[in-house]
Amino acid sequence: MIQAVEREHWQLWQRRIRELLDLPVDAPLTKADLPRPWFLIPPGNELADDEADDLCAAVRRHLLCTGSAPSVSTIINRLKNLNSEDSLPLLYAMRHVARTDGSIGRYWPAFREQITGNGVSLRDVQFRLAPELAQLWLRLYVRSGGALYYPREGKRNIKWPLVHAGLLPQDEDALCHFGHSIISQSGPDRASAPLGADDLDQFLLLLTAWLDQSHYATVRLAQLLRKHDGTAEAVGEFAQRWLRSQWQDLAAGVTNTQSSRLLLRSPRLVYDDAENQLVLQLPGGRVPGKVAPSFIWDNQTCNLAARYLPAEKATEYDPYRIPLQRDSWEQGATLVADQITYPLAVPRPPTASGNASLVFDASNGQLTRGWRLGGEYFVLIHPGRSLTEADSRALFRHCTPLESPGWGWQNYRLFAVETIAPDTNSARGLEGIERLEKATERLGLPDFAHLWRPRLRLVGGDRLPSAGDVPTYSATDRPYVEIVGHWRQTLPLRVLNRATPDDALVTLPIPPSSGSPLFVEVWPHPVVTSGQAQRIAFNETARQDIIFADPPRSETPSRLALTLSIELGDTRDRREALSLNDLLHGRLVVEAWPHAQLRLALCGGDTQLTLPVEADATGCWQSRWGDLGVKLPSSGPLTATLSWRGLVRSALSFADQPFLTRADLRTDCVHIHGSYHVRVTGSVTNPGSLRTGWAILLGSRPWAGQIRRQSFTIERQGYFSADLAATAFYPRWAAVGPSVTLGQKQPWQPWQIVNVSDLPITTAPPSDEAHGNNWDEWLQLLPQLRACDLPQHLHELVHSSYIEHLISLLPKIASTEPQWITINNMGIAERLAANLRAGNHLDMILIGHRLYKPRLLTPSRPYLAPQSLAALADALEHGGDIRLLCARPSGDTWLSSVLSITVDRAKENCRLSIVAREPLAICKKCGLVLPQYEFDHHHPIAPGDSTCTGERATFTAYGKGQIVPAHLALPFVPDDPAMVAQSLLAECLRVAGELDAEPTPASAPWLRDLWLALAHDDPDASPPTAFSALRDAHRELFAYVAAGTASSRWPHERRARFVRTTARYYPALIVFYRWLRHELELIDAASHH
Amino acid sequence: MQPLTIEDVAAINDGLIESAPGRLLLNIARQGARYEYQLVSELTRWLPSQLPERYGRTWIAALLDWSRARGDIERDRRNRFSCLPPYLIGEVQNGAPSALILCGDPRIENTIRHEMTPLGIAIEHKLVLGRVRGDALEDDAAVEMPLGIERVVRARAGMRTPIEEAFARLGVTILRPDDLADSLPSLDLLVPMAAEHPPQLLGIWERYDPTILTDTRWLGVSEWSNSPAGLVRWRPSSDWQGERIARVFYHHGNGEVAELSHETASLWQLQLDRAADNTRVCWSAGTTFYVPGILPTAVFQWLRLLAGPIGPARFQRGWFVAPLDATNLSRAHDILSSLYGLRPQDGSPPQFSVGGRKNRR
Repeated sequence: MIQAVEREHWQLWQRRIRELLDLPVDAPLTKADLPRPWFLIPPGNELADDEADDLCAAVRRHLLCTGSAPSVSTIINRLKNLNSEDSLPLLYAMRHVARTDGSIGRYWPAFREQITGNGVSLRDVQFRLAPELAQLWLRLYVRSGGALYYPREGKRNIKWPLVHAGLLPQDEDALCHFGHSIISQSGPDRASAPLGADDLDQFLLLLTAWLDQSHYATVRLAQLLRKHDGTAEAVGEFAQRWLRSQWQDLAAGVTNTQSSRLLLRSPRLVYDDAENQLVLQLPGGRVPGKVAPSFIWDNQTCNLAARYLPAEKATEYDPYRIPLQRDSWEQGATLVADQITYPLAVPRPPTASGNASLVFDASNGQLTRGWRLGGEYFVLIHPGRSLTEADSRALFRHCTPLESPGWGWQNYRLFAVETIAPDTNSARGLEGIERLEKATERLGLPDFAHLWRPRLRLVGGDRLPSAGDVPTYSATDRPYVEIVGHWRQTLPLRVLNRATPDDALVTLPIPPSSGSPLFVEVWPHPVVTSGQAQRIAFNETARQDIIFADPPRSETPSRLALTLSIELGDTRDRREALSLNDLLHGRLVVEAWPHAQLRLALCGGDTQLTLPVEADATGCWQSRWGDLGVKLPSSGPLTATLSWRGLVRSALSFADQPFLTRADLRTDCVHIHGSYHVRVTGSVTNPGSLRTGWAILLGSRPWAGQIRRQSFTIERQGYFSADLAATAFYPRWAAVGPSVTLGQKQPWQPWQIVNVSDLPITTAPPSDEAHGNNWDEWLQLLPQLRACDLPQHLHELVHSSYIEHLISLLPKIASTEPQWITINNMGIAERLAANLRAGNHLDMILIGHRLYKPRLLTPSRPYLAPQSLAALADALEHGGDIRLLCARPSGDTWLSSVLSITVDRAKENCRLSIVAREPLAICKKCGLVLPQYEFDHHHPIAPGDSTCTGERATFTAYGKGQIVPAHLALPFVPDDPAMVAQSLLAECLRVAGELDAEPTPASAPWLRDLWLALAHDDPDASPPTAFSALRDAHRELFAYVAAGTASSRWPHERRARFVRTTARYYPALIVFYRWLRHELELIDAASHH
Repeated sequence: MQPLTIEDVAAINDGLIESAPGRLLLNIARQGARYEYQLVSELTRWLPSQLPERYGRTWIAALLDWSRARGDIERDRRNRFSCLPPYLIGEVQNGAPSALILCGDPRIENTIRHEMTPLGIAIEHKLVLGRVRGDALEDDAAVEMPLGIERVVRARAGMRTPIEEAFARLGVTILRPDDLADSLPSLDLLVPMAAEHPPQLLGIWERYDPTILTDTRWLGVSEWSNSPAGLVRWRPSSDWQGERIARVFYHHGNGEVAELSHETASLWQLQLDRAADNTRVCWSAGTTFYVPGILPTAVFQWLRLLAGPIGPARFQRGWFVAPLDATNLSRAHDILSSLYGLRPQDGSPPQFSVGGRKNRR
């Protein structure tokens, strides 16, 4: 009986609450057309006190079942089983408790008393029932299709009843007067008032200050706003919402607004992704009067740039930025203008917000208190929290870890995220919302609050760059509109002109959706209203603005080109006449394309390095020389070459001596006395005392009479001009350089060589046949040309001329059988010595007479030979005695007799004899010297002479102590260039490699010339390295010659190696081959002596 | 105005996916230097919200790598991508029709079409498809996805001078194919002079150990300032995304460092490999040539050119894979061996074997 009464009582309250909430009786929530927000401010009167007590009693009985003492678990089970429709009396009762007695700090004791009748302990209420009650609110939110007001601020368990308590009449009265105060100061424009979500701190600061100074200081609203446990934010957000909804009426009620309006915006916390730093940004604003405003915060006073606006009678100040170097700061700031202080609220630091993590809107970097599903943000996670994989998956569609901001933020973790879309499975339903709420709570992040709002996205189309937040699209390539989210009624999608938002251009009913996106082609045809802003919107719940613009006719991209110049004082773009002093005091300036990744190579003197250069967003880069940290060469010139991958480049030269840049040189075709001339004009930088120079015109076959020379005078300022007749051949290149004064060691070297083949010369001979022989003149020019940067074809011409010249110097490579000779002059003796030192082992025998011409010998044992080749080499150069051995078939034996070598450098000869210390014999037929006891074993030494044997031949005998005439015979081919070259190189390496090595007198002058040539081309190379490189170059050239015509089929890399190896040593190779020829001539002379 | 049908939406989705590579390049060209996460965000916002999971950031990373290897975009020291100015690779022939590869800023195409059509110039686009393999795509690797757009400028014969002049007027540089090979970066690196204490970065620090025999030679270390490590790097996370935005520093051996660009860092790795006599391997299986993905970008651009005008060369599993004929394969071997000490080896890298794939899982 009692239970039936209670059930009827409960049902009575069900109907009553539905009536209060304007919800038809028996209509399920899912079918009801609920206003949004629903439940927040009931349209009817509030409950009277006795009525409210009855409601609480009904709820108590329903939950606790009077007469018994249920366990907390039983109550929780009942709460869990309560459906949303049935929960309305309970939730309304919770709202009532909050309205009459609740703040966060006092709510649960009041709830315990009024709803549970103190039947449950406070601890159980706070920690076990409260989460279940919060679930009831969430369930109602989901059941109503998001019609419930979703409080973003405040603690999860308490914020729902707190904000749904609404405002008391006194609170509304206070807010009404506060609104009037704002409007009178700032004007009726709602955008000027601090009513946005991100203005909450400033709003609370102003409202509490105003309340404290008014007679509303004791109203419930004022008391709630003094609570620092989250109540102030939850109620403040609600108060902002109330003011926004009442704004038009409030503005209409204010007649006396100040003539000069105040426009203050609170400082914003901004993440500057370009600089990767956090910044406190004071937005620009306006204060009444003509004043000099300053911003005071955190013990810093900053004077703001400002200007007076006479029409407004106000001063407008500029935005101001302060980098945030730590994660704690003062929350109070002030703007001071003419002794008037305006309070400003600085966002709370994470350390003062319970280790909160921070969220910044990716579009503008501003700290935001709430975020949207499917939006992009930077998230700065507090060091005390960690982003787990599960939370990341629950909250974000994309999450990219980034480098933490510097300074005091280095322990925070920064992520670029895109929040999940509302239609994703993880966000669906009650569980989805719970999951999101718990994840954000764990991370100290704002709640998701817009799950149930349909969201409009612009998909595809050609989005053009634009300055504002409204996206601009090409009028001819328009986006589609994608609608995502959940909505239960047919929604009117309206397309409006932003200028006339009350008149819809088109309206399209969009059917209900439970998650699957819908696509609409809103603009099927090109939009003719270019420049006009349009808006697509579902009432006020979702909207998207868009601007259409004409498609860009031609967007001009940057050029793949770069310039290196030097800035000196006010002069910009100087590229010529640059001294090292200019470099030292100037500023290097690079102009390329935006963000170009370049390399700056500095080359000159002992400076050889490459620096990376990164152009800025305008394509520029600049630096003072001193800031590069590079040592200036002690003497010039220095070349700075800027390049992109070596493919595009720009260079500057700096020198304190005369020089000419390519830019300073000009060539023209002129007609003088009926014939065409090439006129070369230019301006020499730093001419000093230099007054003359040379201009040279070259044809495609310079050695064939196609060289013209012309001297010119250099004026004091450096200007010069020369005319070169272009009558005998087509001119291809012009070279310009200084004259060399007598006694100057530096060879003539062109400053510049330019291509002149494109000059309009039409009267030159029709063919390029040879007209003379300038080979020697051309050869003289080669060393000078190769030291310069050459046009490609001239470079190839110089190379091929060098190769031709070198080959002409090379003796013919013969492949004859080794011929035997006897040593009798110093040239051959020294060469043999070098050869022996190079490790070449040669057969040799001692014979009693000289071979007058090379012969083919085939000696067989026994015979006499020097015992040590090294000792022989020494003796051949300096004279001396060396021991002998007898090479026998059964093995070598040493003799007591010695070979004595006498060197006569004056007569350029060397004489050999044997001092006999045992009986010796000389064959009267072939001259072979042998110990007498070996003569019986004598074999012929010449092929075909079978008669010269120990049995048939006779000998001349020499006793102990006698001097035996002797000659050293060996198969030393005197005119084999390869062998001679090898012996010369061995000599070079010997002298270069040994500390005390002395060159032989014959090789000394050649070695000196060689070393000069090598050192000129590679001053840093050590002698062993340089001579080794010369040897390699010689081998390459020999291989090239040996390959003959096959070299034309060499693969690219092989040919490149040949050129690379030889090109560096042309002059040294020329010296070397002259030496080789000289040696061969000596050999030839000796052999014919 | 009406909601589109499912068929219409499917067609729109396909169209947008196919034009995504071009859109990505255009976004970079218009907006200047962009971080990868910004580009991912912009492209995913431009695309419909409900696409298969494979059209995510792994795919967009592949699009960026493809464009970078092609020479359309480059990456700066801060891991931002920017578009290169437009340029052409090839030679205008007089005696035969010419095909020049158009690289860099795509906005020049409208101008070329507008001004050079009378000269017989036409721009040809070809969508290149390929498989993208990422962590989320293991089971979906068989699906071919757009990778990039090959852009070729075709010119008819006999117009060499006017065409060259017209491109010069437009400011479009023409690079000769041989120039690419001749200007490949060498390993004659100089120790950077800058020396400063490393930035305090939260994440993972690793040192480069050139003696490790595998391809991955970065070792996680907590303390490297007293080690002789020549290179150290920082990355915010251990996953592939962290690797893409890693910062590399030259370590002077005393705890002081100088930050390197990615290109310079790759050359330093190769130089240290060579000094440790542990150079990397380039593989060739038939006509398929595999080079390590750490080589400088200029190498990839050159290999793409060797592989043919319609880009079959691309990144796969940390390698750059290019089909080359025997002559070009030999040439590539020679040049990469002489420049970077790469050791040629027959076969394909372990990552491409069945066992290798299993191991990666």
